[in-house]
Amino acid sequence: MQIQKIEGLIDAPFTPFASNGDVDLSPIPAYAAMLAKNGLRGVFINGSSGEGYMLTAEERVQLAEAWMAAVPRGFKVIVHVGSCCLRESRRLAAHAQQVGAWGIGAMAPPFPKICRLEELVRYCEEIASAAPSLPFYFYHIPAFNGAFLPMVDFLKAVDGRIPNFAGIKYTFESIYEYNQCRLYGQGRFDMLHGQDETLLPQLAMGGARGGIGGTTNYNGRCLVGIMKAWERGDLEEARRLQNYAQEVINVICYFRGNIVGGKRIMKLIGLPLGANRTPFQNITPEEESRLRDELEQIDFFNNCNLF
Amino acid sequence: MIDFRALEAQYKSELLERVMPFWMSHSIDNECGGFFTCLERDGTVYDTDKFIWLQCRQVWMLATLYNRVERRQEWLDAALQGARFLLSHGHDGRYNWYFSLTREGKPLVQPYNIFSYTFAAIAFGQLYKATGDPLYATVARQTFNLVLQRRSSPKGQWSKAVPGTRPLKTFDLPMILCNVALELESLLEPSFLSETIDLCLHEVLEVFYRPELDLVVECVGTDGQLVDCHEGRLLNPGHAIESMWFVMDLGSRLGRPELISQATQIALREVEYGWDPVYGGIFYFMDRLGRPLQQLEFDQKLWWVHIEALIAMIKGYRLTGSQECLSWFERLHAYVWEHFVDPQYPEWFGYLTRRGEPLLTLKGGKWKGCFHVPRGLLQVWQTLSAL
Repeated sequence: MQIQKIEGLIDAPFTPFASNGDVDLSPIPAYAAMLAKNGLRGVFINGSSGEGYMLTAEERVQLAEAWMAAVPRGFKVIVHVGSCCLRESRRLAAHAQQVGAWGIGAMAPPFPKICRLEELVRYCEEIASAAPSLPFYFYHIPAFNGAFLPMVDFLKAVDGRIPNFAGIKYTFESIYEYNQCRLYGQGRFDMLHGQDETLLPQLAMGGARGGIGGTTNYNGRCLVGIMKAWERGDLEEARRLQNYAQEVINVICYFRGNIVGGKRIMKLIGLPLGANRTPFQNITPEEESRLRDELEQIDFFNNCNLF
Repeated sequence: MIDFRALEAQYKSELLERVMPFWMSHSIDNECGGFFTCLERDGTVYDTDKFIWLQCRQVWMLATLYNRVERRQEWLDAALQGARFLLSHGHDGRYNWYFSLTREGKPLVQPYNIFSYTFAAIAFGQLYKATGDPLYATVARQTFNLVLQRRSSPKGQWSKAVPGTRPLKTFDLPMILCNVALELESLLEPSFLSETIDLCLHEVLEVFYRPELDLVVECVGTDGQLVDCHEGRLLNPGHAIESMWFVMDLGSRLGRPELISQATQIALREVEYGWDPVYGGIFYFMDRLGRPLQQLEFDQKLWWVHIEALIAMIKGYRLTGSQECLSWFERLHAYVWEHFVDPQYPEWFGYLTRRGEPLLTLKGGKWKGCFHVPRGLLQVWQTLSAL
C-alpha cells in the first residue's frame, strides 16, 4: 500500500455522553465544525480521549457513523479499533472500512499486557487484515498499557509483513526513538507525533509533519500555530506557543489529565460533552470553578478554540 | 357580518404573493452571503451593512415558512445560506453574537445586545426543525444558555449605568423569553423549560404589569417597584400587546385558560389606551403620568406595533370569543390597510407620522426586516383559518 503521510494535526475527540450516561451523538456536527474551523485536519475517534475502552462495540460503530456524517469534505476520520477482544477489533475495523473512514488505528491492549514484539505484531496484523484497504496505525502509548517495546524493532518486524501498515502514533517521551523510527527505511513510515507538550522539538528534527493531539480539542489554535510558525521560520513564535501549550497542560495535570480535566474544559469553552464513564473520577463543581480560575489566570479563554 | 374566508385569503396572498417574493428577490446577498435589509420602497438596496437581529430574524422567518406553510426549497436554501453567513461571521467564536457586520461579514458593533442572541437562538432552533441537523440544535442551545447567563445583567460590560445608584430592569427580555422558550421547546429539558416559562410569566404578569395602572410598564426598579424617572414612566403599548399574544400562546400550550383571559384583557386595555383618538393608530411611546417624553419619535405610528395588535386581537377573539377583540381587529385592519400597505410596491411602510402619512418610505432598514410583516401575516392568516 502506498502510504499517504498525514500533514497537520489530527484531534482525538472526547465522546459526548448524555446525563443518563448514554452516548449523545447530537454535539458531533458542531464539534467537527469547530475542530475544522480551528485548523485541525481530522479526528482519531474512540481512542483514549474518547474513552474507547469504556464503549460498547455498538456505541463505537454509532460514533464512527456519526463522525463520518458530520465532518467536512477532506477532513480525515481515523477510527481507533483497539480492544481487549481481537474479534471485536476486527469487526470494528471492517466497519470502518465499510463506512469509508480514512484509516484505522489500535493501541496494544491493556489486558493481557503485551510483553513481546511478536505478540504485538500478530495483534496488529490480525486487526489490519480486517480492513485491508485502509492504512493502519499502531498507537504507541506505553504509559497506558505497559507495552514498553522497542519501536524501531517493531517497524522492522511489520515491514513487509503487514501490507497496510502506515506508521505509528507515537505518544512517548523518547525523542531519540521517535527520530530513529522516522529515519527507518528512508522514512517510509508515517510517524505521527502524539505528545502535545513536545511538538516543537520533533518538528526541529525534521519530522512530525503530522500529529495527533488530545489538548487540540480546546487548545488547537495554539498547537496548529506551532506548526504554522515553524513552517514560516518564526522560531520565537513557535517557542512562545509551545510554552503556552505546556502552561495549559500544567493546569490539566492537576485535574486528572486530559480525559477528565480536558473533557470538562470543553464545557467551559461552550461545548458540554457530559461526564466521564466509571471508573473515571469526574470533576466536581468545586473543581470546575477552580479549573476555570486557573485557566483564566493564563488567559486561556482568549486563546482557546473558537466556534 | 365579517367574511373570515375573504380576510384569510387576503392575508395569505399578501404574505405569499407580495411580501415574501419582495424579500426573496431583493434581500439575498448572493456574493457575500446573508441578507440586505436596507431596502428602498421599490426594493433597491441603499445600505449593505448587516444587522444581526435582522439576519437572524430572516433565517427564522424563512425556516418557519418552510416548517409551517410549505416545504419550499427556495425558502430553505435562503435560510441555510443566511445561517452559514451567521455561523462564519455573526459571532466571536463563542456564540457571542455581534450587533452588526459589514457586508463581507467583518464585525462592526460589539455583542452588547442580548436580542442578537435571542433571535439567533430562535433562528437556529427553527432551522433545526427544518433540517434535523444537530449542529443547529447545538448552536441554539448554546446561545440560549448565554442569554440565561446574562439575564441579570443583559448589557454586561457594555452597560453605561453606574452600578447601584438607580438599578432598573426592563420588560423586553422576559417578554422575548416567553416566545423563545416556546420556540426552543423541543431542544430544552422539560423541567428547565417550565421553570423558565414560570419565571418569565411571573415577570411579565406580576412585575411589569401593574394592576394599579392596569398597564404594562417598560421599566421597574430591580426591587419590582415603580420608579418616577423617564425610563420608569415609559410605556410602549406595542411591546405590551406583542407580549400578550406570546402569553396567549403559552396559555394555549400549557392548557391554562386563566392566562389566556388575563392576556386578552390586558391586550385590549393596551390597544384602547395606546390608540390615538384624533388620527387613529397606536402611539409608539407614552408616559404613564402624561409627562413630556424624551423619545422624539413617540407619536409616530410604527408598522410592528399595529401588526402585533392585529395578531393579539384576532388571537384574543379566537381563544375567548371577545367581541371587543373582534371590533378592534376590524378597526386595526382598516387602519393598517389604508396607511401601512404601499399601493405601488410590495411590503409595507414602517414609519408613519402621527397623521398616518409615510415618514420614511423604506421597506427595510436597521430595525425593519423580513420579520414583523410576514410573521404577522402568517399569524393572522392561520388564526383566521381556524375560525
